Amino acid sequence: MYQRRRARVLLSLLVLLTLTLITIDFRAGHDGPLSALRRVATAAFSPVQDGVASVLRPIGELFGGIGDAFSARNENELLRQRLDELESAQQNVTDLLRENAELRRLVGMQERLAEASVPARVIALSPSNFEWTVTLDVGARAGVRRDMVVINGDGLVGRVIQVTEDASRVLLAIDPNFSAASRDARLGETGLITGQGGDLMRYRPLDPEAELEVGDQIITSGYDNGIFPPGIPIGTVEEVGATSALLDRYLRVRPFVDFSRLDVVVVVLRAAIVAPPDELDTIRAPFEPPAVLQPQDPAPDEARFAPQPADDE
Amino acid sequence: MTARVAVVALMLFTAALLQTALFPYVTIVGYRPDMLLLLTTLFALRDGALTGVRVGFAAGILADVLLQQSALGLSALVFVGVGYSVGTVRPYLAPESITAPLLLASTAGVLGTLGYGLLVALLGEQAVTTRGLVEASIVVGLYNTVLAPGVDAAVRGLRRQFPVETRPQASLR
Repeated sequence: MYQRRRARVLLSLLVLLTLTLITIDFRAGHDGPLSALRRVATAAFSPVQDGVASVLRPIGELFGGIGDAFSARNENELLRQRLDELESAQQNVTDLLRENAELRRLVGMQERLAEASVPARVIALSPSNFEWTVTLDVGARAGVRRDMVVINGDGLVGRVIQVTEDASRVLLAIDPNFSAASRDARLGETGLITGQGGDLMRYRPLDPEAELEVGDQIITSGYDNGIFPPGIPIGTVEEVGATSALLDRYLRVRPFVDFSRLDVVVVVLRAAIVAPPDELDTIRAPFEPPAVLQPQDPAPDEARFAPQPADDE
Repeated sequence: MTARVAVVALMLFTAALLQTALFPYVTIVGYRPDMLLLLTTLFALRDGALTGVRVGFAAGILADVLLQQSALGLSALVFVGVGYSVGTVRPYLAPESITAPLLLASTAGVLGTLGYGLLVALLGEQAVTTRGLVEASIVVGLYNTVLAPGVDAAVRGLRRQFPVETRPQASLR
């Protein structure tokens, strides 16, 4: 009875404490005292996560690959065993080749952006099923600031939402809290793209009657207070919804980036531009139209923006 | 006592590392298990409500500081509730049976995830869809059930090495 009473008293105290913490954090937002605690936790955890990730990532990808294989199809057992053996033997080589291809795409994307940027590696992902964030191994010391844009060789990854000295946390584009001004690359129709927490994103064009089609590519428009440089590839339209009675129309967009296999990314070192609209044109660096606007005969290094099978890389 | 606290803290820390560095790559239909919730459940099953509440609070705060979008304290509130609830139903179960940890891991996984998702949605800090909430709850329940035997073995090993200090007359039974 004594322990049960103690448990009850402790439960009451801790419930009160947690409710107080929730209230303080909820009211203070991102600049409150508890956000500082989270920054300390990120700073303390990131070096360990960095080391652990390098050990656990291959194991995780191996298990993930096995899971995918089981769910995909029932193949010949002997062939699969043979494949596993070969994969084990080639693990290091394959990993290096993949990294090499990824870095090549990153260099191409960096050159296209014509912005100062810093490469980074994903060292941890969010522990929650309701939050899509990753931790990077670069922070304020490398010039990273809050609201900077993160990309990889495939396109838009997300934006920085927390920065410590040597680590930063990124809100992925598939998080339901993520949104960005964007446009259809073929028609130039602007709209808003938001994450859905799953594989697909949701794009709402400003003009619900716009003749958007399956296969259209969505890119950033650069209107979002200057946070996103224009022209970063986001994804392709996979499903076009009908216009509702409220004149809303939603399209489902499959992102170019494989968020389940993020490894090397680039942080664009350009802080969000907060300036009157008439000054924005003089502040923004010019950015060439992306290759998705020139589907015919793209230059070799630009052909990347047209989705291609991984084997072609 | 100090050694036990240190080992429990180490287990929580390890679980958080696995949660952020390993399980995001080993998901089931896009969802990962909740190792910290599972540890809370199994500590409460083995050691009772008092330990369940303590471990639940520590695990919840640890989960909260590793998150960014939701208010700090939400996970702690849910985990404390789970720890106390599991500790309370413990006398009505056969803790040494294999079914008890499996049953509690699945139930606590479903209810804990559901409760957290509902609180997040109520506060309006994150967009949570009904379908996503139901899917996440079911998958976490199943995934935690699969992991329960291994984690339970670790908790029982800790209990053997560092038994909970109780007063002679104190018992939950």
